[in-house]
Amino acid sequence: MKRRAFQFLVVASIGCVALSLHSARRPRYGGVLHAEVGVAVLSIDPAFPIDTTDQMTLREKLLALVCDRLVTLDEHGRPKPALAASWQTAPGNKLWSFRLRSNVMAQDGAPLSADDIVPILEAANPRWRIVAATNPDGSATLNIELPSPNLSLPVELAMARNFVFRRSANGALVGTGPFQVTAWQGGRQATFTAFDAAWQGRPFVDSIELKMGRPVRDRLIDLETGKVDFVDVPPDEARRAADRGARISASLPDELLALEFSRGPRGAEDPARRHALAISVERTALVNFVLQKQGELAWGPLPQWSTGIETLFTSYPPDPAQTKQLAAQFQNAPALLLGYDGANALEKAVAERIGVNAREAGIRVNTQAETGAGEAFDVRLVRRKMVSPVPRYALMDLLRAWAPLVGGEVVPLPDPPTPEDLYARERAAIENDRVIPLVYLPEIFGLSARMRDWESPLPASGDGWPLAQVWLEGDGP
Amino acid sequence: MQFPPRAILIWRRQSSQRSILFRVANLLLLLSACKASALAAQQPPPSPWDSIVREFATKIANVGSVRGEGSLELQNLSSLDGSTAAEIHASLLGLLSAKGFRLIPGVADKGGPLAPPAPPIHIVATLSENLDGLIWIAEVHTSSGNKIVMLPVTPPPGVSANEVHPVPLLERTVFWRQAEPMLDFAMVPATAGVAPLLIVLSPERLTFYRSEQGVWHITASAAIEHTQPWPRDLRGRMELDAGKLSVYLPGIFCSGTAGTELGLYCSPGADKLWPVEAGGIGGSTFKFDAGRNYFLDPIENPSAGAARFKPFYSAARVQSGVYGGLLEVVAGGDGAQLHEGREIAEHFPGWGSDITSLNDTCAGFSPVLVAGAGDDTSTDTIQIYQMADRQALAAGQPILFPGPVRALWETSDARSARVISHNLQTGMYEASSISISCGR
Repeated sequence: MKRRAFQFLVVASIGCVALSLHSARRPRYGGVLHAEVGVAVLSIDPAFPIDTTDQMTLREKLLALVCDRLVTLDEHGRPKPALAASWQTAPGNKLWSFRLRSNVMAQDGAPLSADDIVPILEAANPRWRIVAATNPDGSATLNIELPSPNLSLPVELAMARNFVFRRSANGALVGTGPFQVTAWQGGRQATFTAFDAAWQGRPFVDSIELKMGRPVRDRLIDLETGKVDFVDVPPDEARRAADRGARISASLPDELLALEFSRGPRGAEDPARRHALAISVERTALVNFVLQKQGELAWGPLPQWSTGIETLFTSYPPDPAQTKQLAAQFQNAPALLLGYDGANALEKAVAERIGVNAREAGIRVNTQAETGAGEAFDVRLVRRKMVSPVPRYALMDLLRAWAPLVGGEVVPLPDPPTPEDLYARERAAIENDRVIPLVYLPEIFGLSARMRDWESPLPASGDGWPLAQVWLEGDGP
Repeated sequence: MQFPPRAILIWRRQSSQRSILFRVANLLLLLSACKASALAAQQPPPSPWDSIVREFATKIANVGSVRGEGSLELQNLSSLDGSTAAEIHASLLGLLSAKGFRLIPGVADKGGPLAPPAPPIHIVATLSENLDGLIWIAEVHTSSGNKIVMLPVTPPPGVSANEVHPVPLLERTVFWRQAEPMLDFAMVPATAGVAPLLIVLSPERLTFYRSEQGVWHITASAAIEHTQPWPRDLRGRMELDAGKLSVYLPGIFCSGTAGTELGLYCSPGADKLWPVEAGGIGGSTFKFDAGRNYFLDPIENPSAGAARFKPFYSAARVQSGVYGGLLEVVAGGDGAQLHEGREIAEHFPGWGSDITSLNDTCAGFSPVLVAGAGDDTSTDTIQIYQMADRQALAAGQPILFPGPVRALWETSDARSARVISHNLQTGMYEASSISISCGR
């Protein structure tokens, strides 16, 4: 009797545990994954013109579902084989050879050939000279000749601009990735169907139904009511969504929100005013209140996870007394005009907060949404997405973008750069306060309870959303 | 004698409450502790970080003189644990002291705000981390200016390895770790004059390792050719029977002999039946879907009518003490089901998808090992269940894994189980053996 009672207790406790746990761990095949995003694109074809960086980001995510690159990056940002099985460089690092993986099927049922890839890569990299060759064993090699030495070409090939595919007779894009586009209504919705012969293995879900251009409120309601499995969430909405019970996942931060002073306007040319504005911004309040703790304070150009040295840039904590003393020098000067993207609610909130900080410090700042009509702003609030998780490439991209502001020619960083090289170039980029880093933003997603094995990919790696790897709870394997 | 502030604080608080004798005892204790710590500072135990800290200290000393009084702050922004950071701090302080640095008492150890005036030398050391690994930074503030030192750091061998401590009843022995995914492994124990052999099945190759003087060396490697892409969640199984090696992969079957790569022959084998767990009481073979990650209904008796099992991930067989027959448990998409003949007798919804049964090693005990639920992003467990009266009773404590269990197969003698797990803390795949100890 005693033993029976003990058994009952144990079995009952197992039942309780079972109720609180999900079911089987091993991935299940099947199901339709429903996704909604706020941005809309008319085409995923890289040849199609794009208006905004948000659209560019979405297009890259969708391309990653359909296409592959020759090389991808591992979790440490080191190149690993994808469509290229191996590679080597000749002395001098100007000539590279990439041996292609054999038997990679494209979504039209024919193997992807080296000849398919050459025009695509040349279009994305006009200064490269690319020649396809056949090896004695029948495999193919791409020989890439560069205009200047590049020790890290495989890292560059992993960037999102280097997706490869074939163009069909009617010019359509035919990829080798895990999904193929089976329905497309530009700017509205699309269906991505699992590609059974994908060289990396068929995805677990049968298809993805994507709706684009959905307002954030509708996305979150659909997530709460179980209509969708995957939505993108603005950082300033993530906390509220989580409080309402949504399952939220955030990436490492990969988008810099910064103030960038224009060249020319009188107010922007005064280093004391730039510095006063720089030290007036309460970054902690931006992260805690405006961004609802979804973000990382940015003192330097790159995020801490990427370089590990950003802690060295925490050089000017807000100092109201010093700021007011500086501001007193130009109290009669015209107000600085701060522009932001009026279509982005987050930017509007950040800009207004910066305006409040500045006014409290005695700096006259007016905020105004950009209309694209060529307004003469002294300073702009700008979002800069990392193009690579590898600091050298991410920083070079920022330096090129800032060159018109900071002045001077962008000298390439050593390859590989030492931490000291990175630090020196980062400091030089921000030391005159023409660029004021504010916050690093993550990508945030809302996930349904039935979605499993979601892991945020390495930011800026070009891998896109890992939807080929996720699976949906349901009956049976 | 100057006490550190913390020690003084403790002594003063106690002095108001304790007897004189107790105070004296406390003082003696403190003195002996200080002496012991001073001795320890002179002769610290060797640490795997010693050479790296020495290099760091040298770089700091090279950018400017550290001779004189000053403060040393250490902040840890890396994944190193607090005790390791403290060890590095102490070691760094010792090495800088050897170069003439004298810590101003009461300033450095707490890392708190500096009391004015600022010390002549102020060193802020940061244990940081980037995409590539650890990076240590030191900001050296002296009267001659501010300098920065950076040192990319490769952790000492073995430092990041996370050993899992076995718990009673279930015992785990880790045989092998590697960064490349593993599907299965086999171990051939040492015999007279022949060193032990380890065979590791990876997605693209079979690798043979021989142990010589405690060190494993690759002796052979055989590529596994496959024309079709592997399915995601690739599974594979290896059986070793009297030197004969059988490798089961989706759509491919390889056979050979243990110890040489030349003996491995692979051929298309979509219809090749895979062995499943027998628990020492006779097993079955099942067809494995070549494009997926699951088994299909057994075809051993096609005339038996409709399929008994839905597609399933793993199975176990146990002897029913009550009914005197066989019970089969299959793990599918929503936990596991206990089959008694053609009937589903019980459902265990909380079980993971990998299960296996072992020999009845303890009297009256039909053990089934069950991996936990969750997914590939979480830690995992393996728990013993005793099957009795159609019920599954958890027995003992589960073994904890710092990442998902990727494979769980019984050995050919059904006395232990082979486990492949993915350590999420280190990123390494680990091959280990699980066995049951009775009588604890």
